[in-house]
Amino acid sequence: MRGIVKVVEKATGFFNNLLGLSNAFWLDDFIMMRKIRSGDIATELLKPVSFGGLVLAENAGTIAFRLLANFLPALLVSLLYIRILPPSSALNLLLAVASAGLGFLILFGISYLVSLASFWVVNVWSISTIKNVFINVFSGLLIPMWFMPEPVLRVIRWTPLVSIYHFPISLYLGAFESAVVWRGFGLQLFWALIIFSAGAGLWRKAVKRLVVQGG
Amino acid sequence: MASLDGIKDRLTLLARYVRLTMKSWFQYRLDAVLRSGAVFLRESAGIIVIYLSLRRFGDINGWNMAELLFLFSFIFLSYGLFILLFTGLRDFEQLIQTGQFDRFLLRPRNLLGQVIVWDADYFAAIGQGGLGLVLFIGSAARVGIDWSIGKTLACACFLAGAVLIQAAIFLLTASASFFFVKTGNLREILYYNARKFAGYPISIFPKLIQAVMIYVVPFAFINYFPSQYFLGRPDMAQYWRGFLYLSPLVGLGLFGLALLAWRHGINNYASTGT
Amino acid sequence: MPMAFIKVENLRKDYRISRRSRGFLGLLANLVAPRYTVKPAVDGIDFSIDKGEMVGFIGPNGAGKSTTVKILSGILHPTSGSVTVDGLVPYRERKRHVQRIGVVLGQKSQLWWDLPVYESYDMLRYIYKIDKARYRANLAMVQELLGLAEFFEQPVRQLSLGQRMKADLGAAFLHDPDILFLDEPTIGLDVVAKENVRNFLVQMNRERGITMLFTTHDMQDIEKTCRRMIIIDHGRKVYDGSIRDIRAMYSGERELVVELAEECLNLELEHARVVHQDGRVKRIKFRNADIAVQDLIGHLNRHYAIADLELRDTEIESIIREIYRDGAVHSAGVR
Ligand SMILES: Nc1ncnc2c1ncn2[C@@H]1O[C@H](COP(=O)(O)OP(=O)(O)OP(=O)(O)O)[C@@H](O)[C@H]1O
Ligand SMILES: [Mg+2]
Repeated sequence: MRGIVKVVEKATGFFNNLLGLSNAFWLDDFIMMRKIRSGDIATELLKPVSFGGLVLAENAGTIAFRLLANFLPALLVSLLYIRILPPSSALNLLLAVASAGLGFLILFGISYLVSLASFWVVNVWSISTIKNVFINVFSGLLIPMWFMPEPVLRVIRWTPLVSIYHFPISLYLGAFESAVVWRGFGLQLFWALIIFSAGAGLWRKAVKRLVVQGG
Repeated sequence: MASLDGIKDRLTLLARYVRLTMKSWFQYRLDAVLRSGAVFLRESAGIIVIYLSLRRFGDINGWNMAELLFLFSFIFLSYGLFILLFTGLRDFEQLIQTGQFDRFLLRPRNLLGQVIVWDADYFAAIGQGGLGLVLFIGSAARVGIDWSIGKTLACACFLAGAVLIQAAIFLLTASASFFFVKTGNLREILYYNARKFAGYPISIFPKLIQAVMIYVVPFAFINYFPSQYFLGRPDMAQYWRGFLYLSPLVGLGLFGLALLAWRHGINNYASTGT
Repeated sequence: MPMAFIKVENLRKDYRISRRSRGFLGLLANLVAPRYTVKPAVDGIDFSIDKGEMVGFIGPNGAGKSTTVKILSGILHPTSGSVTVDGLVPYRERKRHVQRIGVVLGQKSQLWWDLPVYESYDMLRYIYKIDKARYRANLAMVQELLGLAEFFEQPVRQLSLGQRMKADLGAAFLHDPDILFLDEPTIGLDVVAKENVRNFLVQMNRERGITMLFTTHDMQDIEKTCRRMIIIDHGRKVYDGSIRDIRAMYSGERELVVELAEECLNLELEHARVVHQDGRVKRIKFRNADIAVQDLIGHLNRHYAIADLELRDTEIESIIREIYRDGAVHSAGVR
C-alpha cells in the first residue's frame, strides 16, 4: 500500500512540475503571421542579423523571466507545502536544468517551424493547434506516459516529444543509470540539430518565396 | 406576415449567404481543410485522454467506455450543428468591436438573421460535427440501442434542443457585448468551462455543480439527459424522470429568454453607440 | 410649400462615457451602480433639407458630424429632438428607412473583403430585393461612370484605396436610393480620384435628383459639388447657407508667401502685412475685402523682383479656418 501512495505522490509532483514548466515555456506561434500581415516582415529582412536568432533571443528573455518569476517560486512553494519530491540529488538537479534548456530549444524549434508556415498558409492557427495536440498528448503533459499503450510508447520514445518535458523532469525526480542519461541527452541534441537545420532551410525557402512573389 | 413569398425570399437570401461564405472559404482552400483537421484533432485529444485514463479505472460511476463516448457524441454533434447555423453568435463581439454591426443596421433585413449567417465557420463545424458523428456511430452500436422511428425522432428533437440551448447561451453573451467591450471571459465561464464538466456523467460531481448544470447553465440537457433517455444508467434515479424529455423545451425557453436580452441589448446599443 | 424632405429639430445626442473605478471593489461598484460622464456630441441642431438638394456638412474633428449622420441613417437613437427623413423616423422604422437611403462611410467598406467586387454587388441585389432589370441598368451605369470594369473581378482586399472607394460608392446606388449620406468619401484619395468622385456625385444628384448630405474635410469637395453648406462645431450649428453668402459674411484672412529675388528688409504694402520673414522669404497676410489677390501680386511685381509666389489657402479654406478657430474660442467660453 505504501508503495502505491508513493507512486501517486510522485505522479502528482511530476504533474505539477510539468504543468508549471509548460506554462513557463509557452511560445507565440503567430509572430511571423502578424509580421507578414502588417508588412513588417520587409523591415525584418533588412536587419543584418538572422531572424530566427532574433525571435529566439526575444523568447528566451521572456521565458527566463517567467521561469524566475512564476515557475521557480511555485516550485519552491510546492516543495515546502505540498511536499512534492525534491530533486533526488544536486547532480540530478544540474542535469535536469541542462536538459530543460535543450528541451526548450526543441520546443522553440518546432514553434519556429510552425510560425514559418505562415509564408504558405494565410492562418497558422490550424497548424499550431495540431502541433499543440501532439505535444500535449504525447509529451506526457495531459496524461502520464505510463498510461500509454506499449506500442505507442515504443514509437514516441524516439520522437522529440519526450525530450521536451518528460526527460528533464525524469532527471529531476530520480537517478538514472548513466546509459539512459547519455541516451537521453544524445536524443535531445540529435533532435535539436535536426529541427534547427530544418528551420534554417525553411527560412531560406520562405525568403526566396517572399522575394519572388513580393509577399 | 410570413407570407409564402416572404419565406421564399428569406430562403433565397440564406442560400446566397451560404454560397458567399463558402466562396470566401475556398479562397484559402488549404486553410479551410486544415481547420477541420485541427478542430477534429484538438477535440479528439480530450477524448483520447479520457480513453487512456479509463483503461486504468474501468468505468466512471457505472458508465463504461462506449457509454461515455455516446455521452460525448451529443456535445460534438450539437456544437457542430450550432456552429453550422449560428457562428455569428459565437463571434459577435468582433462584429461590435470592428463596427461591422453598424453596417447590418443599414440593411433592410432582420438583425439577428444577419448576425447568425455572418461568416459561418463551416470547416470548424465539420471538425466538431465529424468527431461527433464518428463517436455517435462508433458508440451507438455498442451501447445496445434498438432504433425505432420513435427513438430516431426523439434523438433529433434532443439534438435540436441541445443546439438551441447553446445558441441561447451564446445569444446571451452576444447581448452582453452591447454593454461590455470584452465578453471573452463570460463565454469562457458560461460555456467552455461548463462544457468541460459535461464530458462526464453529472452524477459524479458535487450537488452544487449538478444543480448549476441543470438549472443555471443547463448543459445536462445537452448531453446527460438525452443520453440517459437511451442508456438508462442507474444514476438517473436521483433526478426527476421528466428531465429525460425536457431538452427541446429547455432549449426553446432559454432561447426565448435570450431573445429578450438581445432586444434589450439592441436598444441599448442604439442609444449608446458603443 | 411642401414639407421638408429631411427635417432635424433640436437634435441632441449625449454619449455616456463610463468611468471605471479600479480594482475588484471598483468593478463591483460599477456593476451595481455604473457611473457615467455625459458628453454632448450633438447639442441642439436644427436644419431642413429639400428634396434634390446637395448639402455639404462640415466641421472640425469631433464636431459631431458622424454622430449626426448615424442618427439620420437610423443607427443611433437621438437623446432628444426629432428627425424625419421623407416622412419616416429613421430609428423607429429602420427597415423601411434604410431601403430608401444609401450610406457611404469612407473609413469602412461595406464590401466582402475576401471576394471579388461583383460578388458583393450580387449579394446586395438580394439583400435589397432589387429586381433584375433595375439591377442590370444601375450596375451598367455605375460601372461606366466610375470605371469599375478594370477591377470588378478583383478581391476587395487587393484593391487600392481609390478603387475600393469607387466600388463602395457604386454599391450605394444599386438599390435606387432617394437619399445618400456620405461620411468622408474622399478621404485618402489622390487628386484625380477625388475629381472623379465629385463629378460622379454631382451627376447623380442632377440626373436622378438624389438628395445628398456630404461630410468631408476637403473644402474643395464642397466648393465643387454643393451650393449649400452646414457647418457645425462642438455639436452646434454655426453656419447654414450658401457658399456665396459665407464669402460675403466672413472675409477670411489669407496668406501669400513670396520669395524675393534679392534682399529687402521692409516690404511696403497697403492693406496687407508681413507676419513673418526668413531672409528673402516673406509671409504676407491680407483680406479679400481689403485687397484683391491680383492687385496685391501686381503691386509686388511692380516694386520688387519676385523669385517665387505661393498662395497658401483658397478663400473658403481660410474662412472655414477662421470659423473653426472662433467657434472653438466661443464655446470654450461657454463651457
Ligand atoms: N461611441 C462613442 N462614445 C463616446 N463618445 C463618442 C462616441 N462616438 C463619438 N464620440 C464623441 O462624440 C464627439 C463627436 O464625434 P463625431 O464622430 O460625431 O465627430 P466628427 O464630427 O465626425 O469628427 P471627425 O471629423 O473627426 O470625424 C467626439 O467628441 C467624440 O469623441
Ligand atoms: Mg467623423
